[in-house]
Amino acid sequence: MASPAAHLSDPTPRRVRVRRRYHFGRGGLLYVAITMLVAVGAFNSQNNLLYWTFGFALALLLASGVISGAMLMGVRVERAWISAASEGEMLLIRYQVRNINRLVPAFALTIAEEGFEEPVGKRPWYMRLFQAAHPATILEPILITPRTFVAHVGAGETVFAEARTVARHRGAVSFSGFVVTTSFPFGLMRKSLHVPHHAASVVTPRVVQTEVDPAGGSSRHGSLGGSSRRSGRGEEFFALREYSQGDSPRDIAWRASAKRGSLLVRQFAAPSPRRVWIVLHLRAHPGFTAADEQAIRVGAGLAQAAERRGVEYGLAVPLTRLLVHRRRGAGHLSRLMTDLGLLDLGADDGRGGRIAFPQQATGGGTNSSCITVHAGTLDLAFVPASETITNIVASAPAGTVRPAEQPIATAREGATLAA
Amino acid sequence: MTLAGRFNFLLHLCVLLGTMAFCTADAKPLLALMALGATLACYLFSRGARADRPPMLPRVAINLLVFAAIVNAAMRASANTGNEEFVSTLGQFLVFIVIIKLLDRRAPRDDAQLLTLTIFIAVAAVLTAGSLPVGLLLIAYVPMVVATAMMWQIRAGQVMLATDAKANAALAGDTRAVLAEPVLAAGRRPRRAFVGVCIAALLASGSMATAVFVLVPRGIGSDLFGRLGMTAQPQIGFREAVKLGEAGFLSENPTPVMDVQVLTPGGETLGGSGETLYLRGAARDEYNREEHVWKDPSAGREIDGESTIIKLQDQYEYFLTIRGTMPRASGQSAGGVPLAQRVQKITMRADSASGTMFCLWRPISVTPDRNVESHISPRNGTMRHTSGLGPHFTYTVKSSITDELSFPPRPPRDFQTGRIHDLTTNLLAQRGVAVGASTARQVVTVIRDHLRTTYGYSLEMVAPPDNVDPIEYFLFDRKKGHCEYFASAMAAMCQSQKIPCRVITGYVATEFNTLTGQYLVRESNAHAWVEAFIVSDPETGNGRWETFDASPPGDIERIHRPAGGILASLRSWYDALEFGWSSSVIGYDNTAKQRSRDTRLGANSELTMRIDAWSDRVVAWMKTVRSDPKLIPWWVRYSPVALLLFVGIWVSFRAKIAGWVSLRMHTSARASFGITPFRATGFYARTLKALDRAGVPKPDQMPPGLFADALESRSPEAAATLRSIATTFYRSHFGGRPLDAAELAAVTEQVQRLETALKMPGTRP
Repeated sequence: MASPAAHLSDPTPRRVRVRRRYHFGRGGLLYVAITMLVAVGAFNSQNNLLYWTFGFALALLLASGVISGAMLMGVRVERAWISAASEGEMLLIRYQVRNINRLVPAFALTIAEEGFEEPVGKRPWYMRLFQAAHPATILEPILITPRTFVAHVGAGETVFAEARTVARHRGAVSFSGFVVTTSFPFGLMRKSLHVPHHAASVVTPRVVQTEVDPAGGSSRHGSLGGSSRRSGRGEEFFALREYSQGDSPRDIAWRASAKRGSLLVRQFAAPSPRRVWIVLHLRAHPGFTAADEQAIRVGAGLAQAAERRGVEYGLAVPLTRLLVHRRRGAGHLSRLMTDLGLLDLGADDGRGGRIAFPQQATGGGTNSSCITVHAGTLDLAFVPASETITNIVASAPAGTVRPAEQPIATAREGATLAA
Repeated sequence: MTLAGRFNFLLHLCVLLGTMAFCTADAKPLLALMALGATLACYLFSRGARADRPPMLPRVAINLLVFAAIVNAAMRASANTGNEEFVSTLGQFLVFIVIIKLLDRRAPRDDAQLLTLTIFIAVAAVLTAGSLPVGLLLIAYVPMVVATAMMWQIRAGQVMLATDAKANAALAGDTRAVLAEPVLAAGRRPRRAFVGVCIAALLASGSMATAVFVLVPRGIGSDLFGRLGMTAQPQIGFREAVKLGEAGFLSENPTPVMDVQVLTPGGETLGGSGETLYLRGAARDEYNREEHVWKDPSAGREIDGESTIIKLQDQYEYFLTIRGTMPRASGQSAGGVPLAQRVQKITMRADSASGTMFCLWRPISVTPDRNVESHISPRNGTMRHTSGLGPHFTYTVKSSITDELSFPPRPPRDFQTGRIHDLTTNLLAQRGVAVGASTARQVVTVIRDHLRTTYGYSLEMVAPPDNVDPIEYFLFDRKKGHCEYFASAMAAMCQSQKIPCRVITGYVATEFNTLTGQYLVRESNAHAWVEAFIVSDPETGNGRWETFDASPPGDIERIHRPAGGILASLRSWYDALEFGWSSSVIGYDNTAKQRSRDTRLGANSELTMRIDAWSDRVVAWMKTVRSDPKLIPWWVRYSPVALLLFVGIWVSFRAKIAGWVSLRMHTSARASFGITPFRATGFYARTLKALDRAGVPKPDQMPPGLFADALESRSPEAAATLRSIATTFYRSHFGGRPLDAAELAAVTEQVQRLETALKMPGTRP
């Protein structure tokens, strides 16, 4: 199931300035070298078959340029849609490919998003020659270049193509544009259309379920919650008021009405949902990275469970000073997931200061509780002593360095109830 | 058939056609059989559903096979030195590699390499031979390779999608992702469109290739780079010298040597099946008893103070001016009597090592189709060229068949005594023929008939015992031999009776092709006969050289008679096709180009003259440059070096720019989310700088502790130090407490240690 995710895509630009480029690859260079050698051989030896071979080689080079040029001139590609995705799930990008050329069909079009890591073995050879010029990318990027392939678009036809790639970890994904390339017909020359089309998306964390019920906790009111200070259809008495037409006769307070001499009806307090704070105690310390990530996933799981149970939930991440106030609803869940997706453990807001337990999470009355998720180890010094606070330790398999490469244990294995 | 199946079929067809073309050109039937078997086997094992999983040998086996191919090629290369051998060795090596590669197709890249290798093999075939079968195979190969290359683009994309889907499924842990990949466009319409594009590409390329083939001027830049691109020229086994006494068998090689068309001066084609023509090559009239060789004493010498060598250095009709016989241009004798002339258009398919030019009768005029340096001997009417023309050389000879005013022969001096003389004298005495100028024809006829009836014909040559002359061994002991023995014996016997007689070597033309109106002469048609000088006017001594063939006519007919039946008819078609291929494609040169152009543009049009002038200028410049390389402008001389430098610089810049662009994109992606870059200060900034300098910059999004883990594999010491620095950084950064003096000193020392550790070899990427 795709988690709700914030989709920060720009609207499709009305006028896109497309850049066309021509690339001579290794194959093309080799071909030109052979053609030149054949030409030299033909002129040197006056061998007629070599003259003919040279002529054919030259003609194929020109035909290659003309065919691929004519093909790409008529191709119009738009990014139609980007799906939401959470960590470890498939991210889909849909493209609309139109061939406005009425005569020339288009073949073998590769559409790839720009600015992502090339798949293994796709890095240009000169990049491999000059590794120092390319920054050492030790952490796996979120996405491997999303790309797709369109085998054929007939003259005047429109087809849709989907690029699929797995979001390897949570985070922000920025799409600067995409490139349509083809080396059809002979692979001698690669022609490309660079279509700038900015869009952004957030890969939300993977949802890890825990045994902790956000609607439960230590409240004496049980899982149903308490009453609020607003009138509603709860069970607790709230106040009396004048009878008005339409009130149920059941609600008439006969005794009070008799004393008052006019009809009064009983008002009941609106049922107050349970409220829960989810506090993520992240460390951002060496050796804690995987545990931090697991804590974030557990936090996401708690938020989702709370939403399902109708509990109002908020999120606090003291490390990054993130505070999301308690709400309920699909929109709130989506925003919270986005915030969790964008959590940057390496960034600093520049304000400095000590990491402290958020005061908001400790208050809220008897109907309110707090679940603190500790990354790696239980840190009781961080949590104030309170009955309403439940502590969870989100641990990860030892030695995990790269989240995308080594799967972190599922919640039931890794998350343990500490208190 | 699926796309993979079609591609698989086309790829194997390309491999088959390419390798067959090379094996045919290089005359390697065993290699051809091996390639055929391997290709068919590989195709059969990769048909249908297995097209996506072609047969593969283990890596170890592939490496061993490649090693064996390299060793084989190295051994062949060390044994051979010539250009042709090099091409042959390289071609064979490529064929082996292609066969091995067929068993190692793991990715589309391997298919592309396979296709490229077949192109190399096809070029090797072109460099090896230009025969019709090779041409036909290449004509079939070209559309296949074009279609395969085009299909590869789609196939590679399909495989790319499948690979991505598998990788995604593995990452997501969801095998359904593989099935969920979009299906490629299929159906009749895309297929038709693909075929249409293929045909359009082929037609356009074919037209342009023909234009280049026709328009590129020939002669420019020839021999500038030694033998680069030159094919092994087919050579005929004809030899001018008649050497007797060697053991062995005469070969019956059916390779075509030349095409001969005989015309009347009015242009009417002569000849037909059953009519035999004698094509004169060399004439020998002096016998060397020590070497057992017939020689031409006039070759390269002046006789009677007059040059016997006439050089044809320009391309024009050259009329032979021989003492007392000119002019012949009008086709009349000195006395104004019209001479019966025959025109012979001879197209050589293979060159002879000696450069012999053949004709039916003594030439009056010769018109070569290109600039040649020819030597013509007026004494015996033979021709040679010294230009190394190679095959596909055409020349037209006019001859007089009633030439009675030939060069007076030298009186014979050999065989005046001895067994041969006695034998001849006895023979003539037995037949009652008196020897004299007036009875020369009778004497020669008696000798010829005696040889024909008394001696047997055999293709087997037996060496005579030591100190025994081969002619005498033939006449008195063995009494069997081939045409050279018959001709030698007849020449010796005639000369013993003071009748000028010479041995002629050449070919007999018996195979008339009605489709082309030409005689096809094969290697097996080589023959030897004699020409005897028959005096027609005893008072003046004038006469004419007449042809006599002493070999038994039945045997000659049997040996040289062309094959009959359906196969012969097919062969006629094939020969006609081969002639067309040879003359129109292989033999296409400036002359043919000029003829074709003159027909269309007019020989004296302004455009024609301009083209000629330009062509002449270029050819003259090339000749000058070849004679003095210093005349090449310096910028032309150094342009290859400049080009290489440019490519090197371009590649470096591309790499740098690519790296820079990648960094910029990363930064802009962060900026788009309003993430302000963290500005490090103090010891942490120094740490980051040190990492940057060492070529292992810490990515922005990665905490220093995690980066230390990543650095572990490169330098454990640097990683440990960085971990300590990171701990201090976290303490001060997140703990909100400034470092005291001792801590600061300690961390500064750690940074210094890190800088040192990063300088150690192996840390840099």
